[in-house]
Amino acid sequence: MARTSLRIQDENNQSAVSANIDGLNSVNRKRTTREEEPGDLSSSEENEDQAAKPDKPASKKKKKMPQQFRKVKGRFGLLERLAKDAPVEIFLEIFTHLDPGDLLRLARTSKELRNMLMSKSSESIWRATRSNVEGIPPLPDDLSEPQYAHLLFSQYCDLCLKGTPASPFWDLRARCCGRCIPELRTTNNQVLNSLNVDPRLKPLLLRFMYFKGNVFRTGPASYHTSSVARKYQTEFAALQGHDEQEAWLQQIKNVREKALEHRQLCYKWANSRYSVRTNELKAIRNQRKADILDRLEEFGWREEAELMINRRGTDPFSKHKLVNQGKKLTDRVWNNMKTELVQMLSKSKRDRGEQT
Amino acid sequence: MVTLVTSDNEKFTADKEVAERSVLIKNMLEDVGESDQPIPLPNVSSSVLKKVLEYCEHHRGEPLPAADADTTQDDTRKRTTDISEWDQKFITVDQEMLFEIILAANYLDIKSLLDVGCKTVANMIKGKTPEEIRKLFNIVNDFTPEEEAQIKKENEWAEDR
Repeated sequence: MARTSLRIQDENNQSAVSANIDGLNSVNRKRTTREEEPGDLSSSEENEDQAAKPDKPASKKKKKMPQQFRKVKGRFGLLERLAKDAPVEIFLEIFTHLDPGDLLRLARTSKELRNMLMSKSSESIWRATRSNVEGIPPLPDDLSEPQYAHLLFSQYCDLCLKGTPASPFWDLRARCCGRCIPELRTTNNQVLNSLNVDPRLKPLLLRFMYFKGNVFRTGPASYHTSSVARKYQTEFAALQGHDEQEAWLQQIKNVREKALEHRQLCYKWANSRYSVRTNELKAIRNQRKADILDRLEEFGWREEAELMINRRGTDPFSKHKLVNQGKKLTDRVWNNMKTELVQMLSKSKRDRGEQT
Repeated sequence: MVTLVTSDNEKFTADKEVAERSVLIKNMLEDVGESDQPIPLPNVSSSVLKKVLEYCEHHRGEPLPAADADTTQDDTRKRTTDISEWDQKFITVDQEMLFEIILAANYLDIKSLLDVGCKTVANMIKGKTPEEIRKLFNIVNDFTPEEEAQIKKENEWAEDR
């Protein structure tokens, strides 16, 4: 436990440092933008992008922004104005178009939004957003709406709070990154040993707490949450008499069965989501490559690129870091990349000439 | 023809069929009966009404949602944030105008336009990190770094106090 809090403290210190750096930057920024809107709190944020690239004229950058992403001049942004000046139904209406993960992230932006969304009175919004997600497994009995949203949609480790691509241990209601798992094992083994567990409870606890399998290719990993172990031990210890204990054990077993059933649904859901996303990305990649080839044709380099694509066994063109990206090709991106691409293609042409 | 007067005292004329896409105006017209009296819209400015009329003109003749359609329609309406191409182009405005259009659509009771506005805001939020959302909407981060770490661990209803 002490280790965890130390790590978090460390992280907090780091964010404090970066906040300080931000503060320094904004001083510089103010100097360049003072004439725009004195005393306007938002203007320093608004100019952040421009300040980051001082060699680009500010007006040019602005023109390229799609209109709706331009910020409102003035202190309050759209969301705050809607919250303050519009009927609350409008705000709720907007939320019902999101998914639970969006709600959770909104609830992390400011205290006001957090108070609003994390209040039990907002339960109906959360429920509505769940119905926006295709194939989402039903809310399990032991989780609240935001807890479930966290389980399904968050992308960070529950222990170190750093981002992780790891999918959760669905039945254990926890997401844990590869680095934290070994640490957890030792500390939790100690916890389990230190708990004076009743022999009837122990096998159940173990079934509950352990996840065995070849996770993260680090060999068999076991995972269990000390908090759950503690909770059940406390509950069990408070029970009076054999019958009551047996009934409780049976009840917990049922909960466990349900969690395992639910885990199957979560697996399926996450996998289909993953494959949908993979296909989307694949389509975007292919489109990007096709767009690049079209543009290369204008420069007379399409042929060379296609030769590279058809090179036996390898396809250095499609694998090139500028080509192989899951992002749409825009004019700006193309302008930034074309010199490097043409250089690469002319080198390929030279190399080919030397070979023959 | 119907005459509408905006908050900044500008007069607009529109076909009855177009203006009546606003349930508010429709009800007002029914109340006053046949009359050439201009209809005051004290909550809508001329620049916004111009946009709203453009929308109503484009969608003229389309069936209006029934007043009690809320329950039956909701399922399909909410499940998607798709916006038709024309509507998307129409709603590509700055945040100030988007805000005004949403307010006007709500006041004038034009459900489909309100819907487009709300979906647009929702699309702006979708998939963004808290930091990106803050930046986009000028939301001031009033959490300390400690609190920020703490709330990542707290995903439960706030206690009722």
